[in-house]
Amino acid sequence: MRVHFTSILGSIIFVLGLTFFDCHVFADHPFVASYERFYATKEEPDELAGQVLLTELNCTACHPMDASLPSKGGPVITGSGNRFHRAWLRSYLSSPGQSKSGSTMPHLIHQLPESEREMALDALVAFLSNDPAVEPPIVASGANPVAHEFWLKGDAERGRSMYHQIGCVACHAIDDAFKPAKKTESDLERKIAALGLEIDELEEMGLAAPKKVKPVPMSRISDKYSLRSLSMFLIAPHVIRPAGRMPSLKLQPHEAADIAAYLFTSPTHSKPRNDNEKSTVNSSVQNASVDQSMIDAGKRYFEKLSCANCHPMAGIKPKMSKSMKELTLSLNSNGCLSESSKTTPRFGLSSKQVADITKAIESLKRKQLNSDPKKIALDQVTMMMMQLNCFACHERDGKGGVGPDQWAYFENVQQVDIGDEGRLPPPLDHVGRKLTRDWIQKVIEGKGEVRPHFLARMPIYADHSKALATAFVNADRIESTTSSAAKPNNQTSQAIQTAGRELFDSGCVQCHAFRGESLPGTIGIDLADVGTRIHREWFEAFLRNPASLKKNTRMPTFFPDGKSAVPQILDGDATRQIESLWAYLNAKDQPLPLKLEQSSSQSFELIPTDKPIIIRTFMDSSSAGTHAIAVGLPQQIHFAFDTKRLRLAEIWKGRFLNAQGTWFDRFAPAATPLGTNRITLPQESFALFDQDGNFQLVDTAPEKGQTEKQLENNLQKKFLGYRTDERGMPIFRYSIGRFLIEDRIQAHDDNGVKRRLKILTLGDGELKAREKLWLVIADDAIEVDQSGTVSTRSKLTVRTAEGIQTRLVQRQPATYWMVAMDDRVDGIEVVYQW
Amino acid sequence: MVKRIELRLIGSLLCVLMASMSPSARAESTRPQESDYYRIVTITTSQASDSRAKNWKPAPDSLALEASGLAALDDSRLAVAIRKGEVWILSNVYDDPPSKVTYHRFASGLHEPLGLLLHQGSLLTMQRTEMTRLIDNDHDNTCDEYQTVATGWGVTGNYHEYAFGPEVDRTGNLWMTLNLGLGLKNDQKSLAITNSKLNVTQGLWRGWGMVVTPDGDLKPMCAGMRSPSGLGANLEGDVFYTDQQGNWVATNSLHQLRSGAFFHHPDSLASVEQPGSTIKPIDEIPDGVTFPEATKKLSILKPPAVWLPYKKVGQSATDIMVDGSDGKFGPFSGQLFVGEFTQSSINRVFLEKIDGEYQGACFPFREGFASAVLRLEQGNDGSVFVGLSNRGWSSLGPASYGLQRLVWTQKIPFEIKEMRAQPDGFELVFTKPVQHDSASKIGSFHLTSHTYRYHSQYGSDELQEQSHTIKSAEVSEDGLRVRLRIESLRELFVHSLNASGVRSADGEPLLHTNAYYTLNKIPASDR
Repeated sequence: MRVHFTSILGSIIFVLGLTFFDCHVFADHPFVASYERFYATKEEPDELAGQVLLTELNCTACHPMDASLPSKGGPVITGSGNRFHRAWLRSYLSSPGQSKSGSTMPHLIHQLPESEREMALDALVAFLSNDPAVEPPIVASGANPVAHEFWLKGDAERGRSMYHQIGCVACHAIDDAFKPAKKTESDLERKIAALGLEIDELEEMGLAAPKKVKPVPMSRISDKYSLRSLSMFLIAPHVIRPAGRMPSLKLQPHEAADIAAYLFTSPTHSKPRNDNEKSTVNSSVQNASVDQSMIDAGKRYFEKLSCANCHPMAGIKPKMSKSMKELTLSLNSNGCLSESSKTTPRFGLSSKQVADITKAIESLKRKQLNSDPKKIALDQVTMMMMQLNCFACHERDGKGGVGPDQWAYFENVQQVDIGDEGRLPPPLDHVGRKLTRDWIQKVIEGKGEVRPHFLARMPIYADHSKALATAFVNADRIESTTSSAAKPNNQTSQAIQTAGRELFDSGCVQCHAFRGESLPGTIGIDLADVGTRIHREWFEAFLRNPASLKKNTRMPTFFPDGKSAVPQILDGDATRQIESLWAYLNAKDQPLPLKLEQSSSQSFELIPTDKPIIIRTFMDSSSAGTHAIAVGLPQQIHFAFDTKRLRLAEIWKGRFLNAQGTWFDRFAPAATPLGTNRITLPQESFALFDQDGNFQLVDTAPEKGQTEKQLENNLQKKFLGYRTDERGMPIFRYSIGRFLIEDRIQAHDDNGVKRRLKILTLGDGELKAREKLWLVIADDAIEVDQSGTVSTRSKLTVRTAEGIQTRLVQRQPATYWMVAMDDRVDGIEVVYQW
Repeated sequence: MVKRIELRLIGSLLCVLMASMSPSARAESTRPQESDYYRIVTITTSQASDSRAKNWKPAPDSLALEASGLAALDDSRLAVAIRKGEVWILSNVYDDPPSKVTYHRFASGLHEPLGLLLHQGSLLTMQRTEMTRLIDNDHDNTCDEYQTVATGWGVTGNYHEYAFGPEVDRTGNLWMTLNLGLGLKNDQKSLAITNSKLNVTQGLWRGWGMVVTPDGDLKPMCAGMRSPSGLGANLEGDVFYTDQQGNWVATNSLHQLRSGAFFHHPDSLASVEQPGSTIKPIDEIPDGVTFPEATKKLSILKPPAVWLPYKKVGQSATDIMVDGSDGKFGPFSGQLFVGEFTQSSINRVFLEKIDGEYQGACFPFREGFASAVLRLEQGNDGSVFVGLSNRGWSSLGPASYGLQRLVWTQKIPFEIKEMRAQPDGFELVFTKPVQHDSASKIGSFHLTSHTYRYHSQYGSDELQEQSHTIKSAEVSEDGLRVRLRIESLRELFVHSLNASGVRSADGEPLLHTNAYYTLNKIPASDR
């Protein structure tokens, strides 16, 4: 009995949820988000409001108009009987508004004789089930995990969090069961709280208050979809709904499955199904097959009811009605605006909606061509932002923006309080003046991501990107500045860029990232390549007075009263400073700002203090190459050993290495010594002399066209590894022919490297007699002074202890200084200084 | 409107009450879950971050335990190689919950070690340029000798030239596998060799499996690998590797390593004429034919023992681990387990030998790990350590790296344990007795077969898919085996079985209903 008790408890909770659902989302007239928000409760009929309805209710799909008011078009419904539960589809066709609160799909079936309607519904469902469901291709790859039957593997809890964090609630109902991680007050809330008031009280006091935003209603999700069809829809909504009113939120398949699982189980969005149903619908919509005569009949009804005007279907042409300008408007006439018409679709419009549509059509009839292109562009922006409901997230000219109930659901990754601009979608005031057309287009296409710290995602409106970007630019462009922005910059000298780097360090770095690096704990837009996004004119105006372009911004002014706060750079000249910042931000080859470089080094720069640091890595081929071991010594003298060529390859002083590339970069870049005082040693390292005095170099620099293998064959040589002594110093071991060698390299005083080479075994005696091993230093200009110290052209001097046999050999193109290896039992010592 | 709401409420309430009383409601709630049988214990995992980001870095001050090699040392300790180039020794790793795990750095300065093996008392690892033995001469628990065991294969500096291993076979050979480079730049090409007949350029022995013999010689053995990120031996001491879908590799696959075999990728044949090559040079590579056709046209091409169908059994196969626990890890003793990077899961493989060559079936096993599964190592108590790191690619598990342990709960899952080829069908062996009625009904089973295209493109669709008629399903007396007689089996095709209709004697559905058998050879007689 315990099971039953909990089930009943569950159903009570569910009923409460349902009540919530109906109260919040039920609309008894077609619901168009921006119309509801801006016009539904206004008393005066409004032309623009009516125009929005004309496109969003697809009026112009049947009543032709010029291109300025394109109908949004309906979803692709080919095969929809295989995406939806057919029972739902039938009930929806039977009465769209009742099946889905606020549906913009008109009631159509009443146009048929009553006796025919039931049969017609069956036939339409059969016709819509004839084709396979339209689905996006799901391409799995190393970057895109797609689990088998991923739609069954969603996690409702995760889905609930995503739904409330990535932006769904900007348009759709909030589930009270979800609590935001942290309640961050918006700037406005903070101000209101400072007055000791709450938002609700403002209006009562006659003050302008931010209006609450009604959520866009959804169908009862689990009645309509299977987990599969809903997940597929969420991954690529535009495949089904090309109008783009429901945008893609860049969901990966498993994310879509999570949200689908949530929507299926949330009482806010679904009613729980009984389990008999669940077992069949979870994986896919399993509807019975349909017979051909019904399909044919369905097609005839589809044509007859002009469904193809909104839902394109291969082989069926739209049937156009009277043009918009020819319509006679009267509520008593038998047209679409009336609720009693027997021959036209019924939309279930509210009286306000009728009034707005009437006003719009009347003014269209006597419409004069507006000659002000700026005004046309501004109207176009407003219109598109209403159609696509950009206003749900973005404010422009005081209109729209995230609604007050939704504020708390917009957070950044670390819940850092950097004001509204650190979590709310940015306002779009004068965005066409600020951003380049290409960048705006990219952002709308979902490719321009500059706020990775936002949890909310900018959705994709790919089909509208070009038109919208153009509209923004036309509406906001400042004529005089477009040319100056395009003007090539002829002052990008090194000095100017260096000044820009210092300026960045003096301020910007406190909040902004640069080339993916930022100070610990800071989150802010990455300013690298800002010129690919932002116009120079806006950049300068914003720097001079941030608040003039962005109210409530936390961007401080660095030029109070036009004077620079950093007088020591470029004589404190504001114009030149801004110029230099611009140049630096857009430069490709400049170093990171010093503070960022330092902060990155703190984590990854290897600094030997009490013990040597040994690291295997790739280095440049001019250094120790692909088989390098770099060793950093506490004396701040470092070297790289090439374990393939068996030679000391490079020595340097100062800073050692940054290990980030070796440790964590996927593309395994060659490590570069940080010290400035670097010496690359010659390629040759050993020579073998036979008893006749002929010698063979153990290794030579690879020549063009010479293969790896040919090089390997020069001589049998083998790296055997290294041991570390009690101080952590490496002792390399390798063999050349029959010689086994131990090689210790350490700091000499504080200005050089001392190397001790010892032959451990010599192979058999006969070979010993025949072959001698010599260490080789080569250079194209070697000089030896009286003390036996060798100088090379690269400021390197080399010497060995007295009494060790050396010789100098000329062989084009170089001179070789050689040290006999087997003169002493405890080895030979060679000192390199530079 | 108020009235309408009320009606709706009453209707819904009734509906819910009815549902709560229906018998299927209980069946649904007791649907078997993987976690009922295999429990994931998290030893350590990182925060999520974008693993493909150019500037990826671990959280400051944390040990980036990107586990790329695991070796169980004793009843308390596990050695873990990490990608930044260190080996750590973790103690108290079997504690549950693992609250007292300690970390000690044993070795450092290695170049992306991608494997770890306890061998003759010390640890062996594979760096990019060499196989290295890590020796602690003075017994202070820190490595003081990095002994080069083998080196000499081509390393051009290309990031994709990963080196994996080692794994020891029955004769004491130490096996390693060498990734192909991808997109060699000009300076890298100068360090590579070219086979101009086939127009392929790669570093020496890239795309090959090599061994170090007990005498210390380095020998090339087999070729055609693309991204062979996992090696493992079965209980008999035969060594296998996995390859990953990509150009020339239709989907992930599992192969037995042996001398003279060629598996997929022609780039590896850049080295085919080098001294020591075990493969006869060829003149051309068929591009764009089906895999069965390709095996006819290219005699060196050996089909994988098991294809792992894309998405259904992972997207990126990694390590191979045999269950050698003799039952301590559940009912799959002697079978292979294959790590899965992208889907953060583990799949299972059953192998049998037909005419001297391995072939067999794969099954989904356990998903839900915190990040990409890169390494598997069975602990002394039979539980399995799972090394995680997703840097460079993506994974379903959002963490960047970590270490988890998979523990059998002592409950037996109802699974298809084995799928064995027969001359006229398959024999299924279950982990528990089946319910006779459901398992003898041919409608409880559905079988299709498909093959792949062998081509230079990335991956392959499943081709020539066909449904097979199941003629009969006979249940053995003990209820553990079902013999399926099936029409027109196809050699060299993957046969996908869905047995969703089968119930256990207790009425349980299968934990995983699907199995995928790579039927390279149809056996001549009943076995």
